[in-house]
Amino acid sequence: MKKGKRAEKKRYERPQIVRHHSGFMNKFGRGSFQTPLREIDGVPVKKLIAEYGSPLFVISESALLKKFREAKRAFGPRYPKTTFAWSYKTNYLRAVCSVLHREGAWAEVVSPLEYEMARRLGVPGDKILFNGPAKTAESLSQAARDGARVHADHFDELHLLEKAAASLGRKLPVGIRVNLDAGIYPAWDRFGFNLESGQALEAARRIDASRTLTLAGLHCHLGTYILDASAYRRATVKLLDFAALLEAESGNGLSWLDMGGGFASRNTLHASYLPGENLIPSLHDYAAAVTEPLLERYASQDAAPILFLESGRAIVDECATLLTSVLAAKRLASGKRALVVDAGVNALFTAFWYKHELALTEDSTSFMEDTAVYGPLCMAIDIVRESVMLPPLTPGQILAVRNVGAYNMSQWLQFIHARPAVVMISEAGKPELVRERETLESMTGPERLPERLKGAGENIGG
Amino acid sequence: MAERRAAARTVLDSVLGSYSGVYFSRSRAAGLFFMAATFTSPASGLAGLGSILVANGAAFLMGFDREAIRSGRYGLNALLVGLGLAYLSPPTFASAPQLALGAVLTVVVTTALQTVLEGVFYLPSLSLGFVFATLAVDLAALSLPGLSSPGSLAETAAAIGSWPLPHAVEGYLKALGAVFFRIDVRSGLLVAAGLAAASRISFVLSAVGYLTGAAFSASAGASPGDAGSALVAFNFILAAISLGGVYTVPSLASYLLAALAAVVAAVFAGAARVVMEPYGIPVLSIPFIAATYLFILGLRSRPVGLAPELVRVPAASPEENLALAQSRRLWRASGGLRLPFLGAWTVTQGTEGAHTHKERWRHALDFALTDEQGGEFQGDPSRLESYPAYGMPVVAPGAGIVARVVDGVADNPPGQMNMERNWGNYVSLRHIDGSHSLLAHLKPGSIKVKAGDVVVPGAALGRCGNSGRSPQPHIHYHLQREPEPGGETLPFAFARFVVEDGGVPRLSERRLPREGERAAHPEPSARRRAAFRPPIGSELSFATESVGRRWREKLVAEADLDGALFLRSTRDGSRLYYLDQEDIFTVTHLVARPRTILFAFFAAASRVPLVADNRLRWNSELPVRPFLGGLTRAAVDCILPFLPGWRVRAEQSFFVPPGRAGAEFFGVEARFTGTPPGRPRLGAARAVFHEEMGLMEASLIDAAGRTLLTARRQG
Repeated sequence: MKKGKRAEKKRYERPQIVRHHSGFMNKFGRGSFQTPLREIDGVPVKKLIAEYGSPLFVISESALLKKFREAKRAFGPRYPKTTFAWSYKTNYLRAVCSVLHREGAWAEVVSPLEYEMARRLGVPGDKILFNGPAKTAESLSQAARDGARVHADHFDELHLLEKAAASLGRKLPVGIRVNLDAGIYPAWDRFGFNLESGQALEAARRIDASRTLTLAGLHCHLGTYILDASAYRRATVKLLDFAALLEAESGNGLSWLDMGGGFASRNTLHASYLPGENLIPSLHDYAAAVTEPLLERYASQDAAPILFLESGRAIVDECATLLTSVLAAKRLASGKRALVVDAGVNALFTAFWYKHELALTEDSTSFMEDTAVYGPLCMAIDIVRESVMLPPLTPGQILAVRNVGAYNMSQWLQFIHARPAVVMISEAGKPELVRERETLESMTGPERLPERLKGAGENIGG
Repeated sequence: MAERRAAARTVLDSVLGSYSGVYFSRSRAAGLFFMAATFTSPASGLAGLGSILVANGAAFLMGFDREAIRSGRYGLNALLVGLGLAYLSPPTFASAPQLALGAVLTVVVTTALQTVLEGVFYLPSLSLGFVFATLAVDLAALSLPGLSSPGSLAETAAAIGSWPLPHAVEGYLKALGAVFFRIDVRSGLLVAAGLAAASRISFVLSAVGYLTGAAFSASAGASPGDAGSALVAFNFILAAISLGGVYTVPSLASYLLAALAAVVAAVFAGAARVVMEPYGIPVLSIPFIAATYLFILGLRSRPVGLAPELVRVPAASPEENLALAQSRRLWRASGGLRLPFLGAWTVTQGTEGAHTHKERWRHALDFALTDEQGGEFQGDPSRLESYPAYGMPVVAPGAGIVARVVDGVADNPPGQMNMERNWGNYVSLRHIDGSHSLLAHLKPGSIKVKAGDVVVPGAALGRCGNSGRSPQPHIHYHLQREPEPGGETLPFAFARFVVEDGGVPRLSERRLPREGERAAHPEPSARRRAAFRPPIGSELSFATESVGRRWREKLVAEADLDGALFLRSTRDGSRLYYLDQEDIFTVTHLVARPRTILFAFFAAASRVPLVADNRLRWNSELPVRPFLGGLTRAAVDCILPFLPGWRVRAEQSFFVPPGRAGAEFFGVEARFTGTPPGRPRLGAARAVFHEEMGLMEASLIDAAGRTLLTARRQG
């Protein structure tokens, strides 16, 4: 025994029993080796958990910037008049939006609430794309005054828009959302005006006939997590043909074309056997599909419309990790191993869509066994991973759920457990808290308890 | 060394060609024989050879066609003149200046005659130049005895030196008045005052002309100062003015031309006097007209832009000629080549590069896409797709017709090069001046154009590939004479491109991007352009305030008969001429006083790139004259022809106008560096524009930050 220095106690690793199948290739028969994710952007995972608690969202500003710049570089040399608008619904944390705005991204909002968020961040009205099926009359008036680009979703909205623009004194340039058949499934037809049935043409003619609006742009958001880049090519061609038809009728050229988002990220869908990164088209594939028809149509960049893109997931998903601690290790009745971790579908809504990649954060044995990973909620639907190969883990060990940047920090549920804190590691490598962990005060703050019910807890009869 | 030998051979050719051309031959051997023949009398042989050398040298200096000089056309006539004059009066060393004059005169006469005879009548000029020049000099020698029997140089100097100054001034004033047949000093003074008020350059030229012409006449033996002389001397003045500033752009070269013209006018005057005075008729303005026609005809055959530059349609004054010529140069420089790609690419090999851009192929550029760290690939470097440049569009750098297309060469894997078909897949584009742009190493199957297609700048040609001598995907661009690649590369420059300089995009003009620089074409914004295109006939109302005074005025957008666009102020008639191009707005000419709204517009927005990126910065150079007013302008006018490079420099940028919401408003600011002329010294000028309505506000700020002028749009 050394004097003065306590030897570090080795972690107990319980023995595993693994059944071998004979006759087939035994996927349990080999050890697999995974490099543990010990640090994120140079900051040790253990230090982050110790300082900010668990579970914890960690966003990497460097990764975010790199990805955004990569997207700009994929499109810029193909079609210089490309502008990226950050899709707020993907992640509307002010820190994330601000990082992207600093890099030149506009704001794409789909509700009056998001519009207000963008304005509070200082985004000027004329750099906001206002989409969505539920815009109030007041928010449309505000948008008209601010000079935002509104993409109308339906005829009733057009009616509200006309009234909102009436007080401006000049014609308000607006866009319409168009849905069309791009050869993919599912083909969304609930948003915007349908192209093939002639509804979009009718909307355009209605706008031309109005005294207060002028049609300046077309918007088409094909879907989400689209794996076929050529769908964008088909959609762009259809929209450009439509624009040519409109120009022949009204004499107005197209000022902007918004091809929405929907680019896939590295996550693996539940139904997919192959991992996501093997399947998804690259940003360059999407860029080529969208810009080639545009370049063919517009030889001179002068008359070419601005190309807007509202990518969200493809930019932010891979830039965030969710650190979660193991609470318990169980064995189910079938003999399968299960882990209970402190972040479930309350924090990780995208667990409903993806088989998230889980990474270990420290060295372990190389023998993996099939494990189910459950969240902390007392609900049977709370499953992080149904089945994943993990080594035996003990309570207190940290798992990293990868590629969680999109939708989780906007769609998380306040249910049973407090929502986790969010930390962003700056470009310089310094972790900064950008959202505090939820507390009881922040949860129940909006509640108003009627006077007659106060103190009910103290006077339980019986 | 090879160049010197070539030059020597040219000189020899031109000399011998002059001799042999007399007998319609080009044979150098014949020329040698003829030269030997002239040297049987060494003095006249030297006179002849000297005349050839002077004539060819003068023709070379004046910028005449090199091929014509080499063929001996000028030397031939000069030779004959020299030999002829030597025959009529045996030459001595003292007659060298007269022989030189004869040679120079021959050059001008020959070119003038050639322009008329060959251009109009399709006749060869033969030795008509010799005839005219000899007649002129011979006749002139009768009234200017110094021409035929020249005294020594010392005598000439003494003759000029003994000419008392008051006499010279008196003679000058009398000559000025003599145009109106008022040969007295008082009229002359009034004329001088009027001339100085009209144009300082003309005033200076009148003095130059009189002094040169009169000094020459005096040295040639005419008597200065008598009435007959004044009626002759005004020709020197008019010749100098017309050829120094009215029909040419004023410059040092044009002033020298004016002096020469005065001398030629003096010779013609001498000749004309001999013919006409026996009948009692004065020479009138024949010498001036003859000299002017002679020089204008002669100068026409020179390339455009060479000083002294002929003016096709004279402007209101020589000062305006100068200003317009400067703006014409600016207009000519506005067109040019653009970068052959979209977005920002990095120069991976510049001109005189280390790898392949050397010697005959040194004027070439290689471009590739890099990330922030300068890396050219992401991911696996053994795959072409890892290189972001691969597959990116390549566009036409200028308007032209596709001359050659080669496709079908496969892409190399990264790291390998195809040395046989080293240009790979390429497109060769012929521009209007006959030069060819070459874009090489394109992707097989991606070339969308074929030979004969007409393309505009920015039209898609193909995609970046890795074919030919290309180890990793890049675009190779150069300019050459021939349509087939491999010829010598020509020097070129891009008209405009944007370089990121520490995060600030900066406009670079008329140069090439250097190795390592990341350059992009400034993408034009049609909306910004609309701000600078007021509909012709529209009126913009302004309320202007300057040093306590207020006034209203209207600016009217007009176009003149030549199609030049300008804004005219209804208050004082000042005019701002501008050029409306797709990607840049340029003010070409300003006729306005320094404390006016049009001057403020000019100072703030003399050149505005029509892009939407408000971060862009650029530099402008403005002509000096508009910054001055009144007497200072008059004084500076006298020296401006000699300082063509004197400019006011400004750093320019966009700004978001405070208090004007919406992106339709944008501001342009010019901050003057150095000390611009004029009082008080200007520090900055600002203009605010609306994308549809045009100019909204203009202001001038002095170096101390005080506002000197503000103009606001009304209505």
